[in-house]
Amino acid sequence: MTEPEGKTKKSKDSILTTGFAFLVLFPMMYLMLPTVIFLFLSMLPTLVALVIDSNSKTRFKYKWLCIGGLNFAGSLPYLFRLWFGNNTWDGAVGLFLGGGAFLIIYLTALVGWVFYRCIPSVVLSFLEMSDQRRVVHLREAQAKLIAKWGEEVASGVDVRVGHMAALKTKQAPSVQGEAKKP
Amino acid sequence: MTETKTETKQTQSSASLDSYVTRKEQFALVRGKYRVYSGLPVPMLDMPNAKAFQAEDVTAPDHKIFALVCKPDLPIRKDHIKARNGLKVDGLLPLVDAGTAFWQPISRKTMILLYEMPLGGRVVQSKTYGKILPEEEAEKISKWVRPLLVGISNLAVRGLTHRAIRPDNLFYMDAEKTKVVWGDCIAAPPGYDQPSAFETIETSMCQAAGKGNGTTADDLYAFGATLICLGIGYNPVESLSDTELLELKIYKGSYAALIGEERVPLALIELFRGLLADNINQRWDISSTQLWADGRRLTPVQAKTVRTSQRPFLFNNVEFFTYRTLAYAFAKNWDMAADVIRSEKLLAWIEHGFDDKETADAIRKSIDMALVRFSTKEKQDDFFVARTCMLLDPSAPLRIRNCAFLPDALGTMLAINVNDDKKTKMLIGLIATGYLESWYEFHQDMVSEQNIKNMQITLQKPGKGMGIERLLYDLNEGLPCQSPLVVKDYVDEARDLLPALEEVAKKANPKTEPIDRHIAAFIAVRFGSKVLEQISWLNSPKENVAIQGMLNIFAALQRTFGPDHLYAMCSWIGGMVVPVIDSYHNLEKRQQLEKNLPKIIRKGNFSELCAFLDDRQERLYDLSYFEQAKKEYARLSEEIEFLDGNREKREQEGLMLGNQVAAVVSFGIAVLTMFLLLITRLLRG
Repeated sequence: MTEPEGKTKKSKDSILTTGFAFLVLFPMMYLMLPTVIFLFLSMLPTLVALVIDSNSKTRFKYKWLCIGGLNFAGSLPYLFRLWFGNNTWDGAVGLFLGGGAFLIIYLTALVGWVFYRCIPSVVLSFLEMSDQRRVVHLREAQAKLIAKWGEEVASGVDVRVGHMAALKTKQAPSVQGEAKKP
Repeated sequence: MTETKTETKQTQSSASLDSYVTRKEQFALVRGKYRVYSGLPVPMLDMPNAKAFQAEDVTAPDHKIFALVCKPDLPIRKDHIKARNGLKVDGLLPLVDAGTAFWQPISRKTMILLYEMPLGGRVVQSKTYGKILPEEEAEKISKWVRPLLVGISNLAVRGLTHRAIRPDNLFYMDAEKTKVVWGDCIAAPPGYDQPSAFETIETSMCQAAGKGNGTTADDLYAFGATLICLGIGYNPVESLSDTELLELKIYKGSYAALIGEERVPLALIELFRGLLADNINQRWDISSTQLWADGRRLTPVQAKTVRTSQRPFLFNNVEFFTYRTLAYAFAKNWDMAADVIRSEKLLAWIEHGFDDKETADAIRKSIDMALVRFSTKEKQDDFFVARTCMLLDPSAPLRIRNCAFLPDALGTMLAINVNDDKKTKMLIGLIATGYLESWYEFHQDMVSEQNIKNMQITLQKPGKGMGIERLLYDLNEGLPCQSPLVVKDYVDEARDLLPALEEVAKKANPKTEPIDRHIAAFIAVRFGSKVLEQISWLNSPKENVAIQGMLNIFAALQRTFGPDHLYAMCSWIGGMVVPVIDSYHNLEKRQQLEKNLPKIIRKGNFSELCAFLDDRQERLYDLSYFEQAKKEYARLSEEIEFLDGNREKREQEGLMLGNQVAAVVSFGIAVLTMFLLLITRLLRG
């Protein structure tokens, strides 16, 4: 099969999928219109974050997930009130604008953004501390090996980067235990 | 006046008695029971290379014996000692015992041979001794020919030759001088002390050490020559130099050369012709001589006519008609011979004079071989002149310039020249470059040719236990170890090595190497195959392996021969074992070994020292755990490198983990909220 033919088939498949989804979702959206309108208004910060994430060149695209999680958590009590109250188009808009609901919902989205900004730094600091402690422990183990076997034990040590991935998953056994005679 | 004389005599006799007693106090003890008095020589029984001394068997003082003290630098004939020790062999001076002892006059140990005292003394005591053989033929045969032939025969059945058969080596065993025997032949190499008169043409061409064991035929030749001297009453060719006599024998034949103008009893002519035949195939053997003694008269030996050329070959202004005479002349004028052989004249003479194309082709081939094998003209000349001499006179010894010896005597040649580097190198060259092979090739002796090839392989191996030293001990059964460490201790058997080294250890420099090339080769030959593997360890580039090899060799020797304790040696070698200890990887083990080493050394036992330093199980543990530790160290290094080596990457991973944690927390809160709302709604109904 030639390349243009492949591309044409792919685009045809995509149109079919989109068309089918539209056929299924459109009636559902029509039936749940108040919910859709409410969620659209409530989740606006998440949508903005998603757009920003999609356009940014950063490696980790977790901003919209952090904001989205808490944004959704903030929307849920009002969504329940909508479902079990005036579940109409007007009711949805009124619920969002009245009583400062939108303020609370957007505040939760702001908390999500704060999570996004703070938690990675905390985790990184914690990880660094842990790494340093492990390195000190490993160096002590090496010193013990040298004390027991002499400098020869360190001869020919060749650190290979390819082993690092394996080391991540493998837990190091006790140095003392292995060096001892049975 | 008479009284004064008597007093003087008494004083003199008491002084000489004192002197005798004093001289009897100086003795060497052989084998723990024979006293050999160094102050009481017996010059009457001296051999050319061994002085005779009074000796006494402590366990049997009535047993009349004397000792011959051998020269330590001459190889003795150990095969005779083994075969004759303690046995009374008819026709030979009985060898009572033999052993080594410290000999004060030369300040070193040497071999001492103990013989039964010949009560009638030496048969021949001066150069002119008068007719010794009786006139009556029956007495001549029964008293002289038969017993002396029995002596030669008894050696022949043991696979030995005497090679010291001459008039001045004959002794009367009894005081009545009725029983005559051959004297010593052990103290010097075969034929070493023999004058040319008693040697065949071939052995006369050799140098003293190069005559070899030979065969019984050589003994019978010497027997014939001896009988002539005893019959005439002196050596008829005494006045001739060795070279003159040899040339006379070559040109006239041995019988004619020795008898000369002398008158010989008619009955003996047949015997002499038979025994002195120059062609070994024509010479009488023991049974022929026995038959003659029994009265059977054999067909007189007619000397085979030698092939002669009608045309002479002019060399060095002398005309030659036979191969042997020309070969002899070549050997005497080596450099001139090379030019003559290169020219076509010789080949033409051989082809036309003898119609012998085969020899001519063989000489051409020798020249070609020399051109291929050697790069310098001198070496090329040496090779083809030597081969030409062999071709012209195959029964003659191997001759190369001033050196002439029968390949049978290679061992003796090496032993005599062991301290002469130049001659030793020359002998190595002869073995390595095909001279000896050529000699055996012309004798069609494939077995000996193969032996020479094996020797070449031994020479090519440069390590301890191989090389020329290995050949030296392989070819000389009785040669003591020539190592500078123990050469004065006359160590001729493996069992004597450790006691000698123990004495060395008491005075040795701690850094002196206990196993040098001579000791290694000596052990390899005399101790057999039990330690060949350990000897190969001595050549290891790893110091610890070499030392372990040495320890194992000494342990095996000590286990086999004793003594149980070698304190000085253990202490000496204990100072060298640091590399063995350091070969353990475990530092704790090393410390433990170093701490306990003095205790083990004090026991003086090499087996224990070996077991202590080289426990197989411990070695395996050490090695396997060391390998594990190495892997562990490498693994730790990799992990450190991973954690500490590349922080940027690690930070990236940390950030990703942080983001994931934040996302999970965020969605966790959402799920929890939903759950709580659902519960609340359900509870409200």
